[in-house]
Amino acid sequence: MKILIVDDSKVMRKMIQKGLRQAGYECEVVEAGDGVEALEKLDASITVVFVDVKMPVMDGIELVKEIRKRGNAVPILMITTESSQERIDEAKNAGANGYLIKPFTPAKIKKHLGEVVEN
Amino acid sequence: MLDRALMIDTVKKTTNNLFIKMLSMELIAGEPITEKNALPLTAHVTAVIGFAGYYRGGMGIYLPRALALKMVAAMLGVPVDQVTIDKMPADVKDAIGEIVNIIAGGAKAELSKQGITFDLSLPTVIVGEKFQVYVDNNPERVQAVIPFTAGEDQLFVECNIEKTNK
Repeated sequence: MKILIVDDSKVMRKMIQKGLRQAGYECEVVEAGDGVEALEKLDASITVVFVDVKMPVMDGIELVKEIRKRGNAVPILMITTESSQERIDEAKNAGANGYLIKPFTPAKIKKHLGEVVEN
Repeated sequence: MLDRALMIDTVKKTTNNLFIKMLSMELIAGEPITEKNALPLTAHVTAVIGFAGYYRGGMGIYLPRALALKMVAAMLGVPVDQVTIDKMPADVKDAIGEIVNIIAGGAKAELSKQGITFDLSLPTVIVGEKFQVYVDNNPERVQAVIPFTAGEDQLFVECNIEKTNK
């Protein structure tokens, strides 16, 4: 599995990688600090994208819309502290497949990643 | 309806939730401080975040140096002796800023269920020891400082909220 992690926080990118390892995933990880960098790094080899909602330059919702606009159906898991139904609906309407709320555990990563990959 | 007990319970819950889930650290909450005086906080790394909207206010987390380093090490997945504030200021700012953002985000989600809604600012991280935090005399404002113990370290989380005229 090759995962693109898009988050302006380097520490959060590392935490997600740590969570993936603790959840038992052995995967290659590509990192991006914002939506524009993510679009540059997103190629056919990426199997899943983790996207933070709040980012500078291009935020997570814009990024998801842009990925779908380009016809890319890669599974996308949004990561955020915002757990309101309104925010979840906004992400899903943009084209996200799942929603991971911070703080998360390795078990939560496994559950949500499993759901988006299986679907 | 906003009241101090609701705010304190929410902050305790969201702070504990973060420390357990993301840092694997157990916290013990102490008696909240609500007197309108200068508060006896000691901290070396502080992160604050603002609330704005139908309600306004903010939250701060006050950490001793040793605990801040343990938290950054846990988040980065490196041994604590590899983390220093002087050599890694960006990582410390990033990590502790995320901490207050996640705690405040959790509080925002919980309080919104009671109709207490606000947006969050970007967090600010401060390193240094010479400061005091005051609880003001605004009767409209609900404010408290909650002490927590994490092993041998003590940290504080301060939160204040008031309704706006919006």
